[in-house]
Amino acid sequence: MSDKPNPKDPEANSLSGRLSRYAKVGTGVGSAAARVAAGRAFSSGNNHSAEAKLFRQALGSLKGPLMKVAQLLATIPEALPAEFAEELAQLQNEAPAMGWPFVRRRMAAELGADWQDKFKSFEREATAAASLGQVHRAVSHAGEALACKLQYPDMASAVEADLSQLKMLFALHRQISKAIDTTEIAGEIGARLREELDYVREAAHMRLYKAVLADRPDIHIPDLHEDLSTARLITMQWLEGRKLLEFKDATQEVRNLLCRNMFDAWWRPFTSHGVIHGDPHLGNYTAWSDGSGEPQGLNLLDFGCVRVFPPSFVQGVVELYRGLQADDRDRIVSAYEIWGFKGLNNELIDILNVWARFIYGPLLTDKVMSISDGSGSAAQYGRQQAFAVHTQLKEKGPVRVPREFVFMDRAAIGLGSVFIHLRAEMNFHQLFETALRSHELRSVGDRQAKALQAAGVAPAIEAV
Amino acid sequence: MSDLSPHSALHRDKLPKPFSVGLSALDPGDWIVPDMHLADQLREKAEHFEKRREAVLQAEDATLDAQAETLALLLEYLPRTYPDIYKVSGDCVTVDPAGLAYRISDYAHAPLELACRLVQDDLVIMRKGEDGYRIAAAAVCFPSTWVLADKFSKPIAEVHAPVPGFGPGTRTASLIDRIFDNLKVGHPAQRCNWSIYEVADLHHPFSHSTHTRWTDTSGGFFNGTWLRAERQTLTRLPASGDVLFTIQIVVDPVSLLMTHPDRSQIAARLKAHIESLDMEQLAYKGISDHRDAVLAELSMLAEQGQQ
Repeated sequence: MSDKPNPKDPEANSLSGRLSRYAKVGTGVGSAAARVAAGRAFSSGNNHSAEAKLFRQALGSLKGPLMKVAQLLATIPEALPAEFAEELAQLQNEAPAMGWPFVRRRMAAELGADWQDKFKSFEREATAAASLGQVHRAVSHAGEALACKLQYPDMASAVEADLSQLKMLFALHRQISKAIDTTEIAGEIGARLREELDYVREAAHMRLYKAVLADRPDIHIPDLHEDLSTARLITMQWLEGRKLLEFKDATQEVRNLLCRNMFDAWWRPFTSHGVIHGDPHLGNYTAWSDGSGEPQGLNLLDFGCVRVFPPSFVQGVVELYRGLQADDRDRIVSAYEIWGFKGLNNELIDILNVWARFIYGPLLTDKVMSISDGSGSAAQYGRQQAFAVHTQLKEKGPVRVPREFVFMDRAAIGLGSVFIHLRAEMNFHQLFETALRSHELRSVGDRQAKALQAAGVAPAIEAV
Repeated sequence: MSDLSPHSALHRDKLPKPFSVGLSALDPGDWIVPDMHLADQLREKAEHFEKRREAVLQAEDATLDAQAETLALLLEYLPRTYPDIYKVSGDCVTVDPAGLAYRISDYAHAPLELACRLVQDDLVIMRKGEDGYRIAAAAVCFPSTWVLADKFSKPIAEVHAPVPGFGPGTRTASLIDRIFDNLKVGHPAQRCNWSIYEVADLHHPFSHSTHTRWTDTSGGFFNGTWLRAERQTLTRLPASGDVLFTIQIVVDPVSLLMTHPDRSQIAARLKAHIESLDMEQLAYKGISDHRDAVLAELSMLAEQGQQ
């Protein structure tokens, strides 16, 4: 069921048209709610796609930040079966950007009544609407192009209001499916949303990435303008760039260049400092170019979901890689223990190995290859496997799945789907080996401590 | 499904013109409609019954049968309509998503309490007497600026005395009496109501506080104010002949409007409603001091839809 108005049907776009259409949908205020609340959405046997539609309806009806919740859910592969994620990915029903009187008032609240004097110019129309705020272009007195990301007021209340509804939706879901730990996922989503509201933290992450990738002139991180930033306003350098999807039909060479950059922008901070971008999807990057018009490298745009891992965990990731490489079961098991798995038995180890070989597959193969899991769909990449492995871990457990595992598999899936989108053909093994050689693994802890302190990054908010 | 937002206080059906009776027929199948706040609200209710039972539960002795009738109706309706939420087995009723289980016989002395613990709605049994219908029994955990002890056993017009145009001797008061008289078994009715509050508390017996935050420059009206919507139903109880009045509350932050795809229409609706209020009505709603500021904020949102 599409929410998009039909351009050929003017009535469909008018309020009265919509109202009359919706009036036909059910018998009253409560019909959709009742159907979902009754758990009927989840109890129609094995018809996952019908259930998924109802689930989307329920989430779609919750509005606002919950739209954000739905999008976040879609980025958590183990949260829902693939059919559900596909439905949620269709939820793009966001509010348009707020107008000038509102923006003027909000900016005054953040930077003072004389805020307009602090810019050479400030565009009244937003360039992008987001679910929790919007972005305006501006120019500094020094002539630098700026992006001002302004958060809407009281989003914390809006987020909390909607999270309690999400928990309820999950509580109903749990009555039918015991497959996944929805409490943990609700906790994770809550933490992610709260993090997204914390612009002070995001600004610190931006400083951290600037330092960590300082030796990579091909990967651009925007400069932060601290004097024009607050807890609800981030002002940063405007990075000119084109969306990555625009390069879908570019030459293999160009696509590979962008994907190599993606690979490095994600893996290098991990192997050198134990930090990752937790949500590497296409929208968080653009490609920059010089005068030639050909892309030269990547812009990193979003730092709301950066994860800092204990240095020992970096060792665990490498140990697992080496163990899989040598097919050394003892080394693999000890790597899982470093990852933080507890209560493992042979059956669970076998389940984890299937997953590890899927995720690590491209890194273990020393040849030029493309990423594929057989589904052929970038949106579906890894989802079936992720959901299956989490379901099996739950069934065969109890086992404590460490958060590190969750973040890594999610990010690997995000990265993999970008490579599928851009049809990358690369030797991922050599790229990974190069990343491993570029920094001494034993000193990750020292480097991390210094970088976190210099950037002012506080410890991560615990997800649960 | 942009207009199917039954869980939100911003839903169009929950924002009717204030101070209107606005009663409509209710499909008996939609009598009680649990929403996404079910678990939270039921847990909070349980706490109120444990901590301040007298403040939330009052009943005339002679209403025990009507209370038991109310409970019996719910124990039949709920598991039939929402089998994945409610289960009744022998003497036990469970609300699975909220993790609650009750022994029915434990509430033989106060069936309305158990009824109220099972549903988000507060429940009021209205019984006809010489002065018209009065509150004969009530389980009200989430009052909206009224105190149950003050209203208990009082006729409906007196209950409504503080509401402009609804008090004793008004046309609306006699209309409400007629509605109650004419309510037929099997033909329930519903209406909605809304107000703006400065706190999200469901249990809100106090009158409106001064809305200092509304003119705060850090976000004004949108920062720290709440839209409180009520869905009310009226049902004739077949055995006792009393009227069962239910009130379901949903409280959402006004800031949800910011992110709402239909915010300009909703803001326009709220603006028109507030503009239609006279001084007395504004005072009752607690917005007389900030009417212009609120209207200015709502205009900002409403006008965007016309660009």
